[in-house]
Amino acid sequence: MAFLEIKNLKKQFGATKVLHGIDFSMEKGEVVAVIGSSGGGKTTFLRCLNFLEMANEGTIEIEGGFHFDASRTYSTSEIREMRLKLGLVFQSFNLFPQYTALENVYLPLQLRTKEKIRAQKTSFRERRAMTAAALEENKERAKSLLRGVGLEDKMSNYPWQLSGGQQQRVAIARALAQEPAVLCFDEPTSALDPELTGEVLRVIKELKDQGRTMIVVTHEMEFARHVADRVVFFADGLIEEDAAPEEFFTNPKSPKTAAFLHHTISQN
Amino acid sequence: MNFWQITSKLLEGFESTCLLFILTLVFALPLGLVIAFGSMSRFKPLSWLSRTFVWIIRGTPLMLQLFVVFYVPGMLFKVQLFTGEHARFNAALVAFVINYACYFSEIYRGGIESIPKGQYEAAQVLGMTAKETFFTVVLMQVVKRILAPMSNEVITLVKDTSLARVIAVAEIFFVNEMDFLSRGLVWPMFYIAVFFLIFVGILTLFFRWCEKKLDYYKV
Repeated sequence: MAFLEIKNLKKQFGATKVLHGIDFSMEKGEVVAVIGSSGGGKTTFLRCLNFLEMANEGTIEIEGGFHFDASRTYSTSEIREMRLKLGLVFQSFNLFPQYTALENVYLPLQLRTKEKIRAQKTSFRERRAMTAAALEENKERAKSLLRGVGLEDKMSNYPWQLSGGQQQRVAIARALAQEPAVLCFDEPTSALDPELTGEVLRVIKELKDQGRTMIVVTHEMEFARHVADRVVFFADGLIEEDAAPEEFFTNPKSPKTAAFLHHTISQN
Repeated sequence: MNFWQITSKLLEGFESTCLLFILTLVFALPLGLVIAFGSMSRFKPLSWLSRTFVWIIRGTPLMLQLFVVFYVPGMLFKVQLFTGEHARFNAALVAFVINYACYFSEIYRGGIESIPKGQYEAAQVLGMTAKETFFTVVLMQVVKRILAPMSNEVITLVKDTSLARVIAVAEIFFVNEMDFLSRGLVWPMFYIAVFFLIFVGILTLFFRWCEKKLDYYKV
């Protein structure tokens, strides 16, 4: 079995079928770029992976993580557990505006830690001491993650005081803090000014060098070509092409891929 | 009667006014949130019930509601809900709390529904529960968004308290009517405006201070 294995994933909204049965797998440490025109189902695919949408059919399995089968029903807490194995970075960052960059990164961690401490049957005093100790630990971790994305001097800034690129880097640090097995990006640079996309893509490239497993939905063809290990092309709710970047860009097998590439590249 | 005697008499009435104002807020602010959650509930009968209730309360005069709360239980069921020394005040308080909770609930609902879906989704993928999402992510953003409409509503409440005189609660206008107007003394009625102006002035400053306090983030 591959590290992440998805079989026959189907999703429909009412009568509209968006995913027609996606089979997809990837290995640990692999970086997969997902491209395709809008409406092709790539965002829905990511959202199903992160359980923001529940797939109607199919299975999702992460080695040593979880096995999700759409035919079963799951409780909210089970879904929450599975979700934590995956990270998602949004197109519009979705940082929490009332918290600083640092708080944005450690707050979710702190909530998880508190939950774990609550579950232990110790005295209130002990739990409080543990919470305080965990806070320091989580803060340190958040700081090192922010340093990792080059924001050591912006930790106490609020989101509105940061540029789009900086906000997205905070969002990446925040997602990394959960230590997801697979980190997903939903068009991470689409909401950014062209001069800011570089800094975000550089961070993703660095994460690749650290061996992170990532799925990146993107319109950045250069990125797909030079950073990804594999490029997957979505069209009409199906994976139309799945190939190594060079192969994908120079010798696409599907006419749909060829047409898409021709169209996007002639536009640039 | 000299000016100071009149002032002190009016102040007595104003005490009831202030008490009614504060207690209404204390109960209506949380109750409004409960009604807001009811209106937003995915359980259809509950949301239908909450919305109908809000429609009825917002759709009928507060003055009528005061009468209903104070007199109708006795008229229909021969039960005296409000007894004792503070019966009238308590009845007025109940009517105000219900009325204002409904108005607040709509402000809360608007505020909560205006929070972008992305905030909830980000919280979800970070493993937050619904409760954590509401209290750590959504609430402070809602507070900031509803501050202006809330200050409007709260200021309206200050002046609406004078309606309590229709069931003879001894608030400032009632005192004025009993002690001064009935004796042909007209000017204290206009003097009352000063009390309200000062009170609303303080509230305005308070809300401005709140806005400043919440200025560190933008939503």
